[in-house]
Formats: sequence, C-alpha cells, structure tokens
Amino acid sequence: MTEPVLTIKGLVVGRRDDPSGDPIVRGLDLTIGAGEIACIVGESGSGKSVTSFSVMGLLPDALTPRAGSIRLLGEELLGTDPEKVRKLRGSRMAMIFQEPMTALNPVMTIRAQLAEVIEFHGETPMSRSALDALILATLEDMLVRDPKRVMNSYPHQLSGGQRQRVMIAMALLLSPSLLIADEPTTALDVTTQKQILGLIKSLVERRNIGVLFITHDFGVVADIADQVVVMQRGEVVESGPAAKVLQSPEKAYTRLLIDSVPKGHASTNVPSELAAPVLDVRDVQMVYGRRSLFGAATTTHALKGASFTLNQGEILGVVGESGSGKSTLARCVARLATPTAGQILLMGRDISTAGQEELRLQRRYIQFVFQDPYRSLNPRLPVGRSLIEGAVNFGVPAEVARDKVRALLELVGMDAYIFDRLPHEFSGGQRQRICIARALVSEPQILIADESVSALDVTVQAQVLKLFADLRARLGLAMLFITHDLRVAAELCDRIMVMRHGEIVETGPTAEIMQHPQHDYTRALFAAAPGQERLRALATV
Amino acid sequence: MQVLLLIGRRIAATVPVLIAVALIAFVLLRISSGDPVAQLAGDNATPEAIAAIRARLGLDQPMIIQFLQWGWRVLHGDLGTSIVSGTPVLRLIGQHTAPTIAVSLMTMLVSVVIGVPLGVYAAWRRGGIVDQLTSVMTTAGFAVPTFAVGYVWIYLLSMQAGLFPVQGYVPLSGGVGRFLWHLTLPVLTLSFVYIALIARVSRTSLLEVMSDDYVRTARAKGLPERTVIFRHALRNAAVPIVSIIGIGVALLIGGVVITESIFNLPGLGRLTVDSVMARDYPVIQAVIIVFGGVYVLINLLIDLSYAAFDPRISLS
Amino acid sequence: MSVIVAASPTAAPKRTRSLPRIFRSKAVLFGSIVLGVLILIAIFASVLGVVDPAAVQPRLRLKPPSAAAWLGTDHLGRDVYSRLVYGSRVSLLVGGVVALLAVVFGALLGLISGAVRWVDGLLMRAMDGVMAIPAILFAVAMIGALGADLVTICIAIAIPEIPRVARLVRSVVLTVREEPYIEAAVSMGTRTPTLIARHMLPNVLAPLIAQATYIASSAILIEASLSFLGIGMPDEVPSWGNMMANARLVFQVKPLLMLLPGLCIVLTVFAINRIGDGLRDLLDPRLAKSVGRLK
Repeated sequence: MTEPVLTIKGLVVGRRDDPSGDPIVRGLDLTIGAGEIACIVGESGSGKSVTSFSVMGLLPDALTPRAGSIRLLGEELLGTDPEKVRKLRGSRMAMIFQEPMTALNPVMTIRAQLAEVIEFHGETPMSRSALDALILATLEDMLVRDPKRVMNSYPHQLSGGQRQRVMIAMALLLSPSLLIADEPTTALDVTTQKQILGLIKSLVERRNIGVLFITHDFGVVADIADQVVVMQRGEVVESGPAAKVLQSPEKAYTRLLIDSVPKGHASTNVPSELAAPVLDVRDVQMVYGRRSLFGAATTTHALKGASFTLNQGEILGVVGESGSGKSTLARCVARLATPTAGQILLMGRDISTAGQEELRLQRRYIQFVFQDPYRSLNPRLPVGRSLIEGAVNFGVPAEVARDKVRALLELVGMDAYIFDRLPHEFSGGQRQRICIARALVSEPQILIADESVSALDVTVQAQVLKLFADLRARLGLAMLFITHDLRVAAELCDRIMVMRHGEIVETGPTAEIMQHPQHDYTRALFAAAPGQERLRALATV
Repeated sequence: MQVLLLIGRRIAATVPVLIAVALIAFVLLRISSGDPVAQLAGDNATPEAIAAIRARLGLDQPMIIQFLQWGWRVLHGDLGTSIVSGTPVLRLIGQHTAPTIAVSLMTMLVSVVIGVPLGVYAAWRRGGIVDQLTSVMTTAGFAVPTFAVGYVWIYLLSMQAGLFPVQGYVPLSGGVGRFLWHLTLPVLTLSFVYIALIARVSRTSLLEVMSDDYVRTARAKGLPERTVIFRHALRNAAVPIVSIIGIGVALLIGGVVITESIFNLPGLGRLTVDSVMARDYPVIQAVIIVFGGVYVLINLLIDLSYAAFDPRISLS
Repeated sequence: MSVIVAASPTAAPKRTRSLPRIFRSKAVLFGSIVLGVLILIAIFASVLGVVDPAAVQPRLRLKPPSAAAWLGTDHLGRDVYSRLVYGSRVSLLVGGVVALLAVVFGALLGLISGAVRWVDGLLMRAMDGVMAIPAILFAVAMIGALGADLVTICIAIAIPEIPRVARLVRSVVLTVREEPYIEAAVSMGTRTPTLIARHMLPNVLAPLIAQATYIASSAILIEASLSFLGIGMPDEVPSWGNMMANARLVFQVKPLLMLLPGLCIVLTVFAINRIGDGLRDLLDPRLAKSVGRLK
C-alpha cells in the first residue's frame, strides 16, 4: 500500500478576526492517491478555493485553519514552519490558476519565470544550457508549439491556451507529486479547454501525479474526475467515486448541480414559419481603425459582413469563441456601436445610420441585457429609479411606470418592494433579473442578451435561462441570445448561428445544427463541450 | 531604425507643449500692468518718441506677429536683455544655473534613495512600526510649508547645534567638502516633501501590485518573500514610481525657488524672485521657458524609460 | 480567489440611514471638526481679536506675552494674537476660492475634453503646457505682472491647478463612459443631459471633492510661500505668511514669531488633508491612484 499523495482530514478554515464565527470550510475529508484526479465542485462561496489555498499554505491573512490535518506524502502541513511549507511549494506541490492572462508576471520572460523555480528549489546549481534543455523539454512535454520562441517571449505575446500550458510547465518543472488546479479552464475558449483538460489527464497517467481540481462545472467533472467532493457554503454535501456520484447522486443539491449543466437537448419549440421578421440585418460590417501621425493606419475587421433575420417570437442563438465578433454584432444591432457598413432594418426601418433623436425613439423596441450584472446597474441609483427610467424616457408618467415595473418584477420573480434598495444589496442572479425587468419596461419587440448568463453560478444560470424561455412564451418577444456556450444555446434557442473570426459560419434550426452540423468548426465546438456524452448518457438512463 | 522613428515621434509630441509654455510666458508679460515702452522712454518722452520706440520694438504689430517674432528669436537663443542690468538674459541664466542644479540633483538623489526603500518597506511590513512612522512623516511632509521646514533645520542644526552654516553657497571649485557642507540644509529642507511624495507613491503602488495574480503565482512557486517583492512586485510597480518622480519635478522646481530664498543661494530661484521684485520681465519670461523646458525634457526621458521597465509598453 | 471573503448580500438587508457615510471615517470627522472651528474663528475674527491687527505701536516692539498682548507683539509692535486670528481669514479664503475656481473650470474643461473628441487633443496639449510650469513659478510671474491683490493671487494659484482637475475629470468620464450601466441607460433612451447629470456626474463628484481638498491645502501653502518671498498680500494685511516673512528678520531672537503662524498653517493644511485622505480611502481604491496628491 503506497502512501497517498494528499490526505485532508477534518479541515476547518475560518476568519482570523472572528474565531467563534461561522467557518468558511467546515470539516472536509479527502484523500488523493498517485495517478488520481479529485474534483471539488461547488458554486461561488462554497469554500472550494479556500480549501486549495489551505493546502498550499497561501491563505489570505484574514483566514486561518482552525482544525484538521493536511498531509502531503504523509508529512503534516498545518502548523508546520511556514518556511518549510514554502520549500515544498513548487517542488513537491504546485498550483495553476484560473486566469492565465494575469497569473504570469508581465515584465519577465517565460524563461526567467521558469528558471527561478529551479533557482530556488534545485539541489545543485545547473548550467545555463542544462537549464534551457530542461525548460525546453518540459515545454515540449506540455505540447507548447514552438517552445524555443515561447521560452524567450513575454506573457502578453502568447495566447490564453499557450499561457496555461506555460503555467502547467512551470508547475511540473520539478515533477511535484501534487498538482492543484483552480478552475484552470474557466477563462478559456471551449476548444482550448478541451485541449488543456486532455493534457492534464495525460500528464496524470504519464507522470503518476495526484491532482486536486477545483471547478464549478459538472461537465468538466464528468470528463476527468476519479473522485468528487461536492461543496456548498463550506460544507461537504456529498463525496465519493466520480462514477457513483454522477450516476446516483444521493443529495438533492448534487442532483441540482448535475441537472443545471446544459446538456444541449435541442429546444422543441418550432417557431411558426409565418411569423413576420422584426429584424433584418444585411451585410453589417465593423472595422476598427487607428490612424497615427506617422505610422500607417492599422485596421481590425471585427465583423466581415453579417446578414440574418430574426422573426417575431423567435430565439436566435449566436455562438462563438472570443474574437468571433458575436458581441460586436450584438452591439451594432442594438446601435451601441455604429457599424461601418450595412443595413439594420428594425421592423422595416433602417437604423444603421439613424441620427441621435431618431435612434433614441427607436431604442424602446430593441433592448439589451448585459453580461456583468454587477456593472450594468448604476451603483448609486436605487434600483427602482433605474427601472422606471426607460418608461419615463418614452413619455410614461412616473406613477404608471412604477405600477408597470412592479408587475414586471413579479414576472421576473422578484418582490415588488425592492424599489428603494441599492444594487449592491442583491446577488448576481437577482441583479440579472432586475436588469431583465428593466429591459422589458419599454415593451420591446427584441431582447438582446449578450452572455447574460455566463457570469452566473450554474444553478442560477439554469433559472435565468428558464426565465428567458417563459418571457418569450408569455410576451412573444424575439431574442438574440449571444453565448460562447453551445450547450446553453442549444437548450434555449430555436435557431443557432455559429460565428468565427467575424464571419457567420453556419446558420440553421437548432436540431439540424446539432444532428447534422455542416461546418467542421461547429463539429469541433460540439466535441469540445465538456462532459457531453457522459452526462447525456446518464440523463437518458 | 523603428525605435529611432518612435523616439522621434515622442520628441515631436513635446513641440505643442513647448509652444504652449512659450505662449503662456509671452501672454504673462503682455498682461502686465506697467507699459514697458513708457518705462524705456522715460517720463518726459513725447507721444511721437513713444510711438517710434513702439515701432522699433515691433510692438505696433498684431499680437500674433509679435509672438511669432519673439518665438523666432527665442528659437535662436536670443532671450532678450535684462531691463535692470542690461546683461543678455541667457548669460544671466547661465550664471545662476549651478546652485540650482546642485540643489535639485542632490535632492532628487536623496529623496529617491530614502523614499523608495521607505515606501517599499512600509508596504512589505504593512501596519508595522516603519509603516506607521512613514505615514506620520508623509502626512507631515504635505502639511508643513517648505520654508517652515527650512527654518526648523536652521534653528535646530545651525543655531542650536552649530553643525551647518545658516546661509550661503560655495561653488564646487571652492572644495567638495565645503560645497556639500553648504548644501546640506537646503537639500534636507527640499527633500522633506519630496521624500514624503515618493515614499507614499511607492507604498501604494507596491501594495496595489501585491494583490495581483502573478504575485500569488510567485508565492505558489515557493519563492522566498523578498524575491516575491523585489523581483516580481517592485518591477511591476516601477512605472508609477518613476512617473511620480517626473511629475514631482514641478514640485521640486517650485521648492527650489523658496529654498534658494531661505538659504540665500544665488540660483535661478533667487534670480526669479529678484526679477519679479524689479519687474524685469525678459528674465521672468526666460526663466519660465527654461524651467518649462526642463520639465518637458525630464518627462520625455521618463516616458522613454518606461519601455525598459515594461515590455508591454512599446514606444508607440 | 474571487469566492473568499465577499459577503454576498443575498437576502434582504435593510438599507441603513444614519450619519452620512463620509463622517464614519475618523479622518474626515477629525478634519471637519478642526476646519469647522477654524472657519468659525475666521468669521468671528472681529469679536475674537482683541485689538486692531494693523495697529503699529513702535514703543511696544517685540514684547513677550502679557495681559494686553496675549501672545506678545511683533517687530512693529502689532498684537500677535489678533494677527493670528485675522490671518485665518486670508488662508481660508484663498484655499476656498482657489479650490472652487480650479474645480469649476477644471471640471468644465475635463467634461468637454472627455465628451468632444476633436477638442480633446488641443485642450490636453494646452493643459500639458500649463502643467510644465511649476505652480509657484507661475504664481510668482503672474503676480509680478499684475500686482498682489486677493483676486490676482487666487487666480494665479488656481490656474496651475486646473490641468490636474481637468485630467482627473476627463479620465473618470472616459472610464465611466465604458461602464455597462451607462450603455444600459443609453439603450433605455436616456437623453444626453440626463445621462450626464444622473449617471456620470455623481461618479465624478466624489473624486473631485477629494481633489478639491488637496487643492485648497496646496493653495494655502502657496499663498504663504508667496508672502514669505515678499510677493504676497501687502504687509498691512494680517496673514500667516506675512507674519512668518516678517519674523525672518528677528528669527534669531524671537523664533516664536515664526513658530506660531507656522503651526497655524500646519494645523489648517493637516485638517484639510485629513478630509481629503478620508474621502480618498472611501472611494474606489483604483481611483485613488489618479486622485493622488501631486502638487
């Protein structure tokens, strides 16, 4: 019987200044063996990240472990001399993070950042050539393209996926026994995510390391986990082998989390063919240009000519990865940006070049729900005032507007008495509901939702998606639903439009796109969605 | 080649700023209440004589022509002659630069050498004794007028302890020891507020980057804390620290004017004050242009130096 | 580590209405009390001052404190206590007027610069030009040209402060303009004046007030420096700077004459700075960087 890589027993973490207050993590047990991937799954506030930082000895000053034990290869970490734990970091245990954009030092070359791991942990000093050889070999092992160039680059010169590979190379340079991965793929595009997950899986097999993987996505769990710990508000809800937890979850919360992962079941709603188009977009282009005094003009084609129609009561999904132009398209259609060329016919009237006042009057028919619910409400204005603003702008008396808003709040599942509250008093999901209510005040024909659920926890996300479907059914709204997540789009939308590099790659009814994707890229997107086969297979059992 | 072109562009960008400085200097002279022609012509001059002088000096031309003519002369190094002494202004300025440069450079050196480490240490041991002392010191540095600091030093170190001379300046040719001995109190006076400024900005910029993700990565790599701070955090905090040194040059020059007056140093600051008292406008104008030019030049150099601290900042 | 300590306001917490939020900062509270007292002294100076502060009594020169002259007399036999009390008027007036002038004109230019693109380049270069001239030098030159009266002094100190205010307001406008809630208001059909007044101005206001306090304290210091250099308010006008300038002559024998007005200046500036620091700490820390105190 070999020693497990990591053993956590009865871990309790709480605030330092409030020793009797509620702990952030209460009583976590977990054992990870060599060659094993353990996932801690939970929503925000579950304590999953705090757990990983406790292992690394990197808790913020405000937090402190109160009880329990954390053993790395049998060696106790809690209560040990911090200097000893520091020496274990980077050599015996290593960590990678969510944001590869910011996790690397922007002013140091990749080589320098990798080399210092050896500098501080290597037993014997290495010659420069031996060091370079080790760095190159490790980068190659992480399937970094062109490792020689990457080694001498600065982080900003690399793509997100490349950076995460570099992070993993840095973590595994000294072949640690434990790798902690804190949402390492959440900030990446789905196709990149698939590659990184594949890499981690293969590394576990090849190098026989133990991995503690933090995630919010049961799709990812289904793809890589050997065992699962489900956490909610600091407490372990359920734990066990991945197959067992996925197949027969014992607790309702686990079931809820699994069910909340969009499975990409095609929406069954078939819109009437006879519905009138409310929006007709013709060859809309967007070119960002920058002209400097001496240098030549540099231009970026964010949108290379997009055409589509949106019918009354229809939900059209626009799916694409970062840089696909999907958000630019949404902003042009809503005239938050002015397209360089093309026509936008809103109920037959071209608004692509409309003047300020004409545009202002047309805005009531086309409304926008933004991605970030924390920044899309004026923090200084009581939500009631934000809510009635639209109606009042279009000539509705304030009293009437107030009644209307109360009704709308009920419609989106909020209490009407929240009128005088400030935005910071609400959770993300609540704020997004308020934003949706606000968008509905002017009785629009079209609602544009730009990544409106992607900042939300999965369970909240599922609720908001259901709200969108309800609203369409009740109000007959047409919706343009922008998302990076094909699974989400498939669940909600009648038709799907796939975009890449500023172009529309493929458009069609959801069921058709899903069963017979014409374009390679669409197929790649489907294949990349984590946990698809497994979760769907489970769901149909 | 590319780099040279970009540097050239940065230099070109300072031209409008310098023109603005010149315009301000020009306008300041024009709005003065006294008529320089009447002064030149004397009390008994006939209106014809005044008109003749006016024409000779080009003062009958439209304002914009006058500005261009004056600007043309300034470009050729002709800053006019002092009304009071009749000396060419350029020579006058040349005679007064040495003490000003000495005080400014030493102040900057002392302030950076003391201010940056103080700020860094205060941020590292946040809430510790050094941090609290620094906080008290910076707060005081911003509240006490420079001339009051000067008199406190004079009272303590000169009158009571008898360590340093009360006033006066000895050029470098008079011996390095005596030169430095006379500069000590002015530099101590002027660096008071400058240390406070640099220490405070160093502390806040370092604290700001200490919560960045790459600092967390550096810790996760198992680097010792001092490597985390000096290698990872400080280099990222360098740009705001360096830029405050540049912006602080204006503060420094303002302080030089006062310091030279307290310690009776024959520098540009004294020259300015004396010229204002004597209404010697050409000299005032020239000093504004010189100081403005120095400020623009230093900030240009600092701008260019950013590229050395941060590979993301290209010279474009 | 986004998940950690963020106490998410999930349920329905009550909206508290008690003391204005800014006074919960100890620094702001302290500064406001001290400044309030100083303002009262300035207003009621004629009641608090025992004698005419400009009355010269050659026979009573440089007297130590006594029942008649509580803090003694200066080199012309003028009552030091009365001059200190009246001196608060000049300092506070200059501080207040300069802050007001700089903020009003700076905010105006900043708003225009942030809103109208073609003016931006021109205006910002002009602002750079003004910034390149040290504040004291500018004030010295302008007062030298126009003569020293209260209005000229205030304008001469205010002009160099305008670029910093303009830049601050411009940068806040440019940042705020990108906020989704502004776009939300636009898509809600909000007219531009309402947009500026309701959604933009309140965000500019907080850093602007903090900046105004720093301008006020800096103005007080510069005014005193001008007096000290001998180009400030005429000598008959009792001001702390004038008192210190006069005390230079007798500094070796009567350091107290320098110390007392000096302490008054330090106390005033310190109080105002505390208000500014407190306000700045209450603001978004990211904003604090641009509000920073640069003279």
